[in-house]
Amino acid sequence: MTSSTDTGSAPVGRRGFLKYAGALAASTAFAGAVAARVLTRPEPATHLVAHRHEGEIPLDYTDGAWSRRERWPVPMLVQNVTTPHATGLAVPEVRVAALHNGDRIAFLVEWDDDDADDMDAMARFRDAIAVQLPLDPAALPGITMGAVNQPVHILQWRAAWQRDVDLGRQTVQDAFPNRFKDAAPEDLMGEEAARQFYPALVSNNPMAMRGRTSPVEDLSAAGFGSLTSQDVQTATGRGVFDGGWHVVVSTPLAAGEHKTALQPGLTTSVAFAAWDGGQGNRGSRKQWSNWTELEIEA
Amino acid sequence: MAEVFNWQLNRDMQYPFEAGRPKRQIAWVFDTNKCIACQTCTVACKSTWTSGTGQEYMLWNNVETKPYGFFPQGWDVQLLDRLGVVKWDGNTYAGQTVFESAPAGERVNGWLPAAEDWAHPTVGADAPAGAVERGAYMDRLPHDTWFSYLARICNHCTYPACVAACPRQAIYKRPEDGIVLVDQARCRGYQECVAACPYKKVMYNNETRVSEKCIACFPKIEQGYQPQCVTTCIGRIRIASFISGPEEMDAQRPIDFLVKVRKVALPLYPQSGTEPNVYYIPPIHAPRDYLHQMFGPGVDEAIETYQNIANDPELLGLMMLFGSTERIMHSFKVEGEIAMGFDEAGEELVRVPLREPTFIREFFDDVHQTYLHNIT
Repeated sequence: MTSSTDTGSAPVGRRGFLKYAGALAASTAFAGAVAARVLTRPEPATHLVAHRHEGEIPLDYTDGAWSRRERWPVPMLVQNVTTPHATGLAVPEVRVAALHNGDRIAFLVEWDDDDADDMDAMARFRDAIAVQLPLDPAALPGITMGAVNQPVHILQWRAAWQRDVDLGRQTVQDAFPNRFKDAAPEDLMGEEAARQFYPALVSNNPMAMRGRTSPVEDLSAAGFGSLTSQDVQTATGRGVFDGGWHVVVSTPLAAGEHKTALQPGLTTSVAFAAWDGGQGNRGSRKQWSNWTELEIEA
Repeated sequence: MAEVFNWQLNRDMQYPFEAGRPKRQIAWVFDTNKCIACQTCTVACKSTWTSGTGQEYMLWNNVETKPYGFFPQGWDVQLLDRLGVVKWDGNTYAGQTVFESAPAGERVNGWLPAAEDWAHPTVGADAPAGAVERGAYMDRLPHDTWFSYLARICNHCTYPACVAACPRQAIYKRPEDGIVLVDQARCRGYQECVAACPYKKVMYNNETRVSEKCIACFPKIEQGYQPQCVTTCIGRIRIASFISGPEEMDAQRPIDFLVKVRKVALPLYPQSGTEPNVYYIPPIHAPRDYLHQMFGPGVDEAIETYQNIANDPELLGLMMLFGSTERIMHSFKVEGEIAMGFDEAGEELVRVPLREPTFIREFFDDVHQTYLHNIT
C-alpha cells in the first residue's frame, strides 16, 4: 500500500484547472517561454506537456527527441476500489514524456522493474502499461476506467505482445520448451481447417491474435469490468527493457469512433495504469494513477 | 454481494455476484462404486474438445484415485486447508464457504496452481491409503486399507466461483440449462477463474491465452443428448439430466429421485458453497470420516440406502437405466421387473430388466481341480 506521503507529494493533486483549460494553458506556455528566455535555467514543469515534434515521432526511446525531454513523474497507487486487489505496490511511480506532431500523440512511459515479464502462460503474467484518455477531452470521468456516460479511451501495451512483435507469435513451445507434442491439428489438416480448434481465435479475441503488428491495443471502457477491444485499431508503440521499462505508446490525435479527439493547443487529462506480471499483476490487480493534466502544445 | 440460499448447506450465504438460479439446471450423478478408472470418459472428452495446441495438459474430465490422486496436484487438499476441518450442525453447514472466507481485497478464497501442478494427472493412481499387510484380505466394510476412484468434470455450479471471480463478466451461466461457459471472445486471460474454482476445472489455454473449461457438451444437450463423458462410460456409472430447484421435487425425474428422494447421491465438497451440480454415490468401502469430509453429512444414509438396493425396485430400476440410452432421460418408471426411461415429451426411450440373467458357476471347478475367482 502507498503511504499518505506519496499521495501528498503528488503533482497530480494540484489541479482544478480544467475549467480554464484553453486560456490557462496558453498563459502557462507563454509564461514558461518567457521564463526560459530570461533565466538561465528553465522553470520546472508544472504539468505534463506533449511537446510539438517535427516529423515522425520516434518509437525508439533513446532517440534525442525523447532523451532531451524532461520526465513528468506520476505517482501510482494500488488499485483497491474494485476487487480483486494487488497484494502490494509493485510500481510506485511512472515517469512520462509526451510528444505530438500534429498528426499523432505519443507517450513515453518509463518505470523501474527488476525483471522483464514478457510471456503469457499458466500462472505467469506479463508486464503492461495503459494510457487512459477521456473520450470527451473536457470531461473528467471517474478514475474507475470511466463510468456510464463517461467513456474513456484506453491504450494498453503488453510486454507479451511486444515479444510477439519482436520475435514472432510466442507459442506453447516458447513457454514450455520441453513439452511433448505428437500431432497438432494444423499438422494434420492445415492452418485454415485447424482454426476450429482455437475457439478464442475464431471468436476474434485479440488475446489469440496471430500476426500481431502492434504491441498496443485500442480499448473502450465505461467503468470497471467494461473494457472492450475497439473494432478499429490505430495505436502503435514499442517497449524496451533495460533494467526498467521504456514504452512508447502512440495514437492519432484525430478522433476516430470511440477514440479521444485531441488537437494542438488543447489541455485535457490523462491517467496511467501499470502491471508487474512477476508480482501476479493482471486485470484489476494493478497500480493506477489519478488524472494528470496534459497540455498539447500549440 | 448477494444473499442466496444454498440448499446443500441448508442456509443462506453471501455470494459476490448478482445472479438468480437458472430456469433449468443440468446435473449429473456418478456412482463411484462402479467406476474402474478406465478413463474412457477422459479420452472421449479429450478427443472431442481438447486436442488443440495449448490444450495439451487439459483434462476437462479426469478420473483420479483418492486419497492420493489429484488433478491438478493437491487441489482438494488446498481447498480443505483453506476452509479448515469441515463443521456441520446437523444438516446445516457451520463453517465458511470460499466466498465467506475470502481475504480482504479478494472475491474468493482461491489459489492459482503452478504450471507443474497440472503436469501429473495420474499421480497417486491406484495408490492405497495405507500399506497392505502380507496375507491381508477384505472381509468387512469399510476396508482397512482402500482407494477409490473419483471421476470429475466441471460442476456447473449454481453459484460458480469462476463467474463471481471474473472481473469482466467473461464467464456466464446459461439460464436455459445452467451450463457455465467462458466467453471466448471476451476473456482476457487474467486466470482469476482458474484461481477461484475450488474444483480447479477452469484451465488456461497457453496457445490462445484465454481460459477454457468443460462446456457440458452443450451442442449435445441442446439436442436432447447426454454429454460424451456420460454416453461413453463403459461402466455405466453416469447419468445426466435436469434437477429441480430446491423447493421442488419430482420423484419421476432421475436426478431428483437419486438426490432428493432416495438421497443416495451427494455433492462433492459442498462446503465450498458453490452448490455443485455433479452428485456422487459415495464409495461404500472408504472410511466414513473421509467421506463425511468429502460429501457432507448425508453419507451414512446414502450408503445405507445404496446397500439396500436389492430391496428397492425403483432405485434398482433407475440404476439399471444408467448408460442405457444416449438421450437425456427426463423421467423414469418401474413396472414389475422392467424399468423404463422417457424423453421430455414422455416418449419411451428405453426399457431394461431390473435383473439381468445370471449364471453362477460352482466355486470349485471339478474339471480343473481349482477354485474359480469369478463365478458369475
